[in-house]
This record gives sequence, C-alpha cells and structure tokens, in this order.
Amino acid sequence: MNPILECINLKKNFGSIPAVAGINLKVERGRIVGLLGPNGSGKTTLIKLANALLVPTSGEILIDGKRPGVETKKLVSYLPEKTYLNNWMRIQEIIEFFSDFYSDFNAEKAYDMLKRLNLDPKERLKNLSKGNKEKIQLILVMSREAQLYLLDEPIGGVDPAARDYILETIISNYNENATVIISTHLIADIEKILDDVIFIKDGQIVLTSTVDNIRDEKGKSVDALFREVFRC
Amino acid sequence: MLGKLLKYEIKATSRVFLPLYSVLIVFAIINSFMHFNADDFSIPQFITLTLYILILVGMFVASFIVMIQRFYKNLLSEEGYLMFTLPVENWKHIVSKLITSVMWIVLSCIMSLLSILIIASQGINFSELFADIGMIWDTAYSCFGASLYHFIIQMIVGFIVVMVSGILLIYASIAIGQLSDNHKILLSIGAFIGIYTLGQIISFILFIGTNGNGLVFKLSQQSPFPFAIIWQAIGMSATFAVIYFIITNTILNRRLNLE
Repeated sequence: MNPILECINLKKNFGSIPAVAGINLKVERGRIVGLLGPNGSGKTTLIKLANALLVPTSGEILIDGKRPGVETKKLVSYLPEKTYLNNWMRIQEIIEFFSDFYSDFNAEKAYDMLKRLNLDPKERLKNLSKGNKEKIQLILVMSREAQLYLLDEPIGGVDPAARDYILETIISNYNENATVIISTHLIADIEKILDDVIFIKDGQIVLTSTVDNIRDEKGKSVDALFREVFRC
Repeated sequence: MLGKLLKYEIKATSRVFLPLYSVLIVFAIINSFMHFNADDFSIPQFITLTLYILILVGMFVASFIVMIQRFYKNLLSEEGYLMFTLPVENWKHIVSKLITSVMWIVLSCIMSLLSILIIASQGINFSELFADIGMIWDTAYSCFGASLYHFIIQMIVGFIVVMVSGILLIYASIAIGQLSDNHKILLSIGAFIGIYTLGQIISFILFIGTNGNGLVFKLSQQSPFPFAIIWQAIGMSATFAVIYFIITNTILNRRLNLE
C-alpha cells in the first residue's frame, strides 16, 4: 500500500524565494501527525501543494501514490486557515453542498456536532462570529470519512473550551486507517493527541519522530523540544 | 459534477435576478395603466416611466457586475479554497459560470421584451400586431427568399458567440490580474485593454487587409447577403473565445495562488 502522503525532493519557490526547499517525506496511514514550525516555515505552502492549490516548482508530492487532482481531492479533507464560507447560504445549505460534492460526507454526523456546539442549522453563515465560522468549517471537514485530513491551524481562533471539544472530535471522528495532519504552532494544546511530529523550518524538514521517541529517548515534551530546536 | 456546479451557481445568482425581474414586471404593469399620451405627460407618468427605465438599465448592469463578482469572489478570493478543493476539474468551474452568465443575459433580454409588451398592451390590438409581424416576415422573405432562415440562425449564433467571447475575455483578464501580488485590479484592466486591442488589430488585418486584399474585399461581391463573411467573423470570434478559455484554464491549473 502506498503511503498516504509522500514528498520527493519537493520544491516550491515564490519568485526567487523558496517556501518549500527540497522536502523528502513519507507519512503512513493511521497516524495523527503534528506539522510543527514557526510562522513562515512553509507549513501552509506544503498543505496547499497537497491540495493542488499550488503546483510544485520541482519534485513531486503524491497522495496515495497519485499527483494532486480530482482523484486525490476525493480522499483529502482539507481545513484551510482561511474562512471560505460564502455569505448567502444557511448552515444547513452548506451541509447539503458538502453532501452533494463529497460521497464520503456524513450529514448526520455534521448535525450531531452542530447540536453539541449549540449552532442552529437555520442560521445564515454571514451572521456567524469568526469563531463559529471556524467551528462550522471544522465540522464540515471532520464529517467526511476521508483518508487524509489536512488541518491548517485548526484551533487558532476558538476559545479553549471549544478547543478541547474540537480535539476530541478530531480523535474520535477518523477511522483507524485515516491519517490526520495538523499544522500549528500551539503545540502544548495538541501534544497529547499526536502520534508523530514533523518539525519544519525555512521550508526544510528539521526532524521527524514519534512522540514516544521524543519522550523516552530525549526525556522531553514536544513543546520543550520545539522551543529548543527553534530558539530565536 | 458540472450539473451540481450549475445548480449552486444558479442558486447563488438567482437571489439577485429573480427579485429584479419581479420588480421590472410590476413596474411594467403599473406603467401599462398610465395611458401614455404624447401631448399630455403627467408627473406620475413621468416618475413611473423613469423608474421602469432605471430598473431595466439596472438589470443589465447587474448581469455585468454579477458575472465579474461571481468569477472573482467565488473562485479567486477566500471562497476559492472551498471551490478548488472540490473533486471537480477546474475547467468545469469556468464553464458553469459561463453558462449561468449567458443564461441570465438571455433571460434579461426576454424579460425586457416582455415588459415592453406589457406596457404597450393597453394601447395595442394583438391581432393587428400579429398581422403586422406577419407582414414584416413576408417582406423579409421576399427579399431574402429561403435564406431568411439562414439569416436568423446566423444572427442567433452570432449573438451567442460574441457574448461568450466577451465573457471569456473578462474571465481571462481577471485570471491574468490575479498573477500580480499587489495590483490585481490594475493588471486585470490592463490585460483586458491589451487583449481587446490585440484582437481588434488581428481582426482588422484579416478582414480589411493592409492593401485592399482582405476578406471583405474578396467577398463583397457576394449577393444578396454576405453570409460567408459573417460566418468567418463569427468563426474568428469563436477562435478568440477558445484562446481566452485556454488562458483562463491554464492559469487556474498552473498558476493559482489564492491569498
């Protein structure tokens, strides 16, 4: 079986500036992976490359052995850092939209989560607060039964109580063969749910490891190691 | 998937057009009760007629603005993160927006005609109107003969092709504009003017020729109506449309860079 995500000498330049500078990486199935790095380290660029929102300058990125395209978009559930909700639909209409386009979308699950977070399906998207918009996007993304979840800064804008619920949602909502990649710089909050970590800096991989390894061999928390590796 | 994209595109845009069409028809009905008389034009008549004309003009302005706004906002602003990660080929986004725009422009034309008929309905005798239309048809038929049908088909095809080509030129300009990091609107406008001018120059060279040997001069002897040259012009407009489509699609596939 192909790794769910593979990068082969992957490079992406913006003008003459390298945002991703030669990454080689294999991510296996059934893992929760933290993609960790400071601002501007290339996390978002890497995730956009995996979603065909950017095209590599050179090298390759493969999802389940395939280049990003229509077939891989069926497998990947992506939460961007931006708010992509339009201003004219109601919550229930965007749920219908996802049901229409993604055959792996589970509307029942989505309505369940709405209830838990006290969100009214009849509410218009444009009337939601920024934090609630982020919750809706996360609900939409996690209601798919995808093989790869790419979550770019999923907990940045929500309050700590919702943050806990969201992390719980992430762990409980994916099947054991799916992989979740979470990009963030808020490490302490997500450390407890991670299996693996990838440290990225200046568009290059600095370290890949399992969390157990970091704890056992280095005797440190991921947060402490991060601060050490990325000391300013 | 194209059908689903069309469904949501029509849903998103009908919020603008259906109310506009309703208001247009309501004002046409109000105007139809005003009993216009060229010698005696009262203030209420003036106001209702002015409002009707404003709505009519507004309807076409809205078609134009919505065409640009849907392409830019839905695909190239933050909403693009949703649209371009749907499991759909990128060209289908272009086609669904193109078809929807054409549909609203054609419907707006039909609604204008209908509203004019409503306003005039008080003063006209419909059996006379149809008799007149029949007479115009007969006169036209006696001039054109069987090629009248050819003429009508050519006009309809020409109208659609020129419209599609114009819309795709705007899409291509917007797509080119988003290649700039800081001056997207400026580059879009520049691209529009540049491509349009280039198209005009190419047409001029092909049709008029530089020294009197262009297509116009070769075909101007045709009678009774220069069908061939008009088909050539339509064909060229269609060729431009294909080029604009390829430019837009290539940028969306290879050079997309959402903010």
